Amino acid sequence: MGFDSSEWEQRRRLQAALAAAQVSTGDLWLYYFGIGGSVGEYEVEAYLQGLLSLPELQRDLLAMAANELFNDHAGPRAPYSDELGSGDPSRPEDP
Amino acid sequence: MLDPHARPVSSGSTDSVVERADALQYELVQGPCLTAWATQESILIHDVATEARWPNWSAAVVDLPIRSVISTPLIADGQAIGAMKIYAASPGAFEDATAALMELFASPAATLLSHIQTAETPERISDSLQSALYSRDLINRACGILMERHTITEDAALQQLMRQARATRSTLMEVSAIVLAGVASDPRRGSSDGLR
Repeated sequence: MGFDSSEWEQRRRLQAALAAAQVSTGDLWLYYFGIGGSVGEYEVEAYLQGLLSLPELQRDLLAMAANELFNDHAGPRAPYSDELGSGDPSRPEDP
Repeated sequence: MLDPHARPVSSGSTDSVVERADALQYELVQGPCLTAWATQESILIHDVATEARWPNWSAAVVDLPIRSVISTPLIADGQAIGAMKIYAASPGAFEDATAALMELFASPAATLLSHIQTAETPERISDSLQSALYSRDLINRACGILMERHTITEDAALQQLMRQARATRSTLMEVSAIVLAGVASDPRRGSSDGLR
């Protein structure tokens, strides 16, 4: 499975958001599972390491899990796939 | 092994007599092992028949082949995580030196056990897993309603809920709860349903 550039960017920014909020992969995965995620923790770990490509819906669910998890934090948020790549790059992120 | 509220979370024994004697301690909330755990000191009983410290437990085990007891707390990182005990059918089977020997065994055993699991681990896992399953179930039910309502696939239903959550700055669980409640839109946000 190939990686398009937006998947790469989405993963990188999810990772940055997780690091800033000090959320572990295990905690992220459990929350992601709790909102309907269908990919195993092992695969999520591999995705975060850049070793595995995930379908767009699962990537967006991971971003949503991360954003809901650190709702209280002021740090960077995880982007959704429609906020990347073909979208308007000048569009400011949600605060 | 015990959790911080003295509830047993894990146990192992070499004989059903031991299991019975232990179960009685938890039922009666008294006995040498609970005391060993609570005081973090070894307990030596020379003869259960004349032992006065745990009258209910001594009376309850009178029919079991138990006369001598040594119980040593399992201490890891300064915390008692349980107790290890030996029972003997004859009185006066153990002495202080036996207790010292037990403590030598208990120390590495406690370290090993604390690495396998802390006393609270099963509880923590079941709490977070329970809430994950609850929200997953709720969201899946909302997906099912949308699938039927709009004749769409499961993925499309989930995507629809996700768009609505983002548009209304709610969580996925909140928008799902609204769908389940039969309300087409977030009441805080007027008539816009936030769907594209």
